[in-house]
Amino acid sequence: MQTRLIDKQWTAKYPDVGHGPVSTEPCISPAFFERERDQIFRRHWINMGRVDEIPAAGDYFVRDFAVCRTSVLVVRGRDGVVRAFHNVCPHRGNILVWEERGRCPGRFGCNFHSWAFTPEGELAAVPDETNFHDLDKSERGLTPIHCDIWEGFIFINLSDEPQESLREFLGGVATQLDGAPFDRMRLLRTYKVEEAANWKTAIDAQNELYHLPFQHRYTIGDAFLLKDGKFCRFSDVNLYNYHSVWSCEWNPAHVELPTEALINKLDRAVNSVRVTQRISDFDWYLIFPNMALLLFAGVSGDFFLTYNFWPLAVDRCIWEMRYYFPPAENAGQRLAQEWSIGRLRDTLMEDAYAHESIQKGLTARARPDMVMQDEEITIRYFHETIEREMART
Amino acid sequence: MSRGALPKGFGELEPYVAWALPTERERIAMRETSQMQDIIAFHDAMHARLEAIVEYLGRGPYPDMPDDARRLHDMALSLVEVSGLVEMYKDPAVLNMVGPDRFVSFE
Repeated sequence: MQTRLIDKQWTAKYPDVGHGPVSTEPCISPAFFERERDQIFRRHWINMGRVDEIPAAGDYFVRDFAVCRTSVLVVRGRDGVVRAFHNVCPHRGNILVWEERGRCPGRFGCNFHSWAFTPEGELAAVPDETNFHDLDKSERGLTPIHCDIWEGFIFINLSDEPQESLREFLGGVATQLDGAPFDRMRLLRTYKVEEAANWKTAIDAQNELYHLPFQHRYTIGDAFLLKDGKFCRFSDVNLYNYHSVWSCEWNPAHVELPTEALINKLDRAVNSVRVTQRISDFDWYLIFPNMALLLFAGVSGDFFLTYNFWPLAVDRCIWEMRYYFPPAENAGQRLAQEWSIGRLRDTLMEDAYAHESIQKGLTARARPDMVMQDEEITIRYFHETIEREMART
Repeated sequence: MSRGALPKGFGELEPYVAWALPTERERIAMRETSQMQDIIAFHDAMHARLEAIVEYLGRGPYPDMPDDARRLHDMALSLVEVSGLVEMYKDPAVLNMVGPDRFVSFE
């Protein structure tokens, strides 16, 4: 067992983070939210999806990146390169692609006047072209957005010039997870919930395990190691320049439910995927600003989840959850995967309910601050990083 | 669904073939619209045969399989769907949850 069942160990590891009250204002102020659009979401690398969503030439998906009032088209060119563009026709501004995903049938065509674009973003054809004045088609292609990929995760950056490369931005997260076998897994399930909560209220609620034995007492309350059989303790916390990760161990005293025990016994993964880059049994990364990456040591093989929190308004966001597993080779493995999905799903449905009630409570301004214990240190660090980035010129 | 919907040897599960649902949304809807006593009966019948089901499906091709095997497979997924309710929550009202109408599943 790597976990030390003691108090206040993370503040001891990171004394500069502090332990005083934290302002609630960033979660409830409309003015703060308006400033976040540019200060947080326009100047940093934001995850849009994964390369396995667009495996073939011409494959694309569209993201409504509402907080920046931008529709993003991500498309794999015929040269195999993944690019991102504003999903806007450069003629007179119409939205170009109206489907959420698909394969470009040779050309993207605008509904308005049928201007046609290649999967590489070039303007290929303009109807009635001779009736234009000095139209230079090479300067009227789709407007590119900075796009880069790390271990199959596609990120964009809406800055004119990103202040750092994707790799510099990821920093210690990349160092820790380089080479992890994400590419051996496939998206098996997605959930989306639109919530009456600030995107940071939702993240904060997921960014700790203190609540587990209480809020989730009917679902997964005893899944992870407990001090005195009562309170969760991480086995490690690591803070990076923007991001953070906490890690914890499965609870050996966890009581398996009858079907759970049977399914674990019947799970027969033939070619297991193990993520040797895991720090512990369960690692929860916050990839600033709005993504979480969850790595799990499953019974017969590992799997991962991503959360993306899409801000819509100061008190509204969409929480998107994606579950990735290696393709199941037999029914036993498939059932074990479905068990993991369902067990977590019910827990997250409880969490989503809580996000909305928390937002109500914060909005009432009953107190101007929140107080956090040692196991909530990554929430505090997230708020400090937000404040630091909001103050940047 | 008529007799003979499931592979030979699993005849006692025929009354529960309505649970052979290929998507999570359908399985959740079935759980939400069923009486607790029917859910428990389905759960108990399936739990008793799950090992045999997995062993039977393991002898055939995967993931493509004949329709009767597919029904058995999807009924097993339905067992997973109801197991938390039957074995742990016991009463859906104890969970303060955002429901599946808002927490939407995509496959």
